[in-house]
Amino acid sequence: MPKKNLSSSGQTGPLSVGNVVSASLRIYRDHFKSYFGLALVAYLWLLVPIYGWAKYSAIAALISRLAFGEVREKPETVSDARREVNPRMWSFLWAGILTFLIFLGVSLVGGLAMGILAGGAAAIFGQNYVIIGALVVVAVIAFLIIYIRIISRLLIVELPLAIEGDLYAGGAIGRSWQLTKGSVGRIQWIVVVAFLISVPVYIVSNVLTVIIQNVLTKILGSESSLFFLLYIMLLVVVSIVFGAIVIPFWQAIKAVIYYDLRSRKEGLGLQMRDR
Amino acid sequence: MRLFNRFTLHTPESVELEFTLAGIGNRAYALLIDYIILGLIVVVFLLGALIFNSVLLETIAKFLGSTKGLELWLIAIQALIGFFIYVGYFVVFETVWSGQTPGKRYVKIRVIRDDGRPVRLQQSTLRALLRPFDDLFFIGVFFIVLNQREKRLGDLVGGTMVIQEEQPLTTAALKVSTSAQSLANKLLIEADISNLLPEDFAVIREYLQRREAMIPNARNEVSKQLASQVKQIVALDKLPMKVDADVFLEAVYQAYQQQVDN
Repeated sequence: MPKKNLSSSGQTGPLSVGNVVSASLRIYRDHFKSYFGLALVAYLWLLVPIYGWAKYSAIAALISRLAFGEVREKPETVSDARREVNPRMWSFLWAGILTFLIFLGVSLVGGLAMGILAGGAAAIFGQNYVIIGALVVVAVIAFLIIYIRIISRLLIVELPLAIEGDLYAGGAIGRSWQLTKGSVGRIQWIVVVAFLISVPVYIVSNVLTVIIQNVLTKILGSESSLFFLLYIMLLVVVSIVFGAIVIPFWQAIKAVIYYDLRSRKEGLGLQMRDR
Repeated sequence: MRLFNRFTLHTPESVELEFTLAGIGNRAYALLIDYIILGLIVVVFLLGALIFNSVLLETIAKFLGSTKGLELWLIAIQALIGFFIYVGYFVVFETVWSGQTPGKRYVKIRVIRDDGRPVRLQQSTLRALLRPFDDLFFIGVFFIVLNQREKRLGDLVGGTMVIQEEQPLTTAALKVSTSAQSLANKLLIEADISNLLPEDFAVIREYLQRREAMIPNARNEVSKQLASQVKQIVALDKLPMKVDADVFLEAVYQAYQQQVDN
């Protein structure tokens, strides 16, 4: 019996935290031109209100769909994937708005609860500021934990929408909630490690910004209005380009998280080979 | 897995060893854990040093009247000790645990030499001494991502690389229910278990190992689908007894193993 084949069915299967990040980066690196180009176009769409935002959400989801195809080893061409994703353009926007509203609601409720708590504490403990202060700190930490948990649960909303047919915004939120259940810790580690790895990109973009500022100051002097105009313009260019560099990485991370969760919780990929 | 860099080592005994390289994600994760632990150690050390210094300086001032220069000396010595803790943490662990630190052990990666042997004092010292340069502006990240063998500066100089620990094959026998056991015996007679390829068996085993973590609905679907595929492969028209898909798969798992054992 060949022992090697026993370890897995040849599919990628569930991944460790570090391997989720490595795989995402690898997928992005292998398709850098295509994903970066898409992200750049997506970013430019952001400048157009509403229609452009929907377009942005759809392209971001398209990148995730492409990355998902890679990790499950059933790659799609950009145009094939686009045909699948584009008809659901408005669902992506709507799902984004719904997610935003959920966060807004949680923040409002949290703020209200804290206000009531603080008021109640003040009524009970009166002038004892130490106890009130400690209570506020505990409440803020509790709120942050709840908030981060909810972010993790809703991190992959766009993926079910981009990949599973016949889903609407509400259903996609439900799917994200269902798949991430019990995996919040893993997701948070993945996000932290992914962020650590993307720090160099942020450093380069900051260094570039400082260089631009210094060079322009040398040439034009910091007082002229031409300086401000050029400076702002270059700043916008830098932030768009670097934004477009980072977005596909995060879209790939979400795609691989989604793949990993489906593989763990739904046995995605567990099937007999065709013969 | 084509998403992870693999590396094949040809030993002088003409044995081929294949490794999966650790990957940037695992390495960053391990480093993060190590730095959290190291950070705690350093904080404890600094607190200890602070208390020690103030007590010592007070006592000496009481006896001699002045402590000129002593404070600077203490700080210099303690900074040196701090540096040794930073370097020593990695050197000691990597040497004693043959290429692993607590973070690496948790993440299941390991440093080895280019020729596949375990790292020794010399290599881990070089790695540890170059670590500050790799961490500076995250230069190491660029090196690991862009280098085919995922070597940061410390690895290039030390002649080391970082690999994923081989996942030990979970050969621990799965628990098979009694009804599955009796079905397995019937299957060995009535079905062509030998039609199953090792990779088919691997899929069944993987399902049985992982099923507990699955969402019930999805699990039902997967098991039904697998069962019907397996039924076709082993040329079984009708089950000898009516069982659910999970039990059937357990039985096939059991039957396959018994067949291989014979």
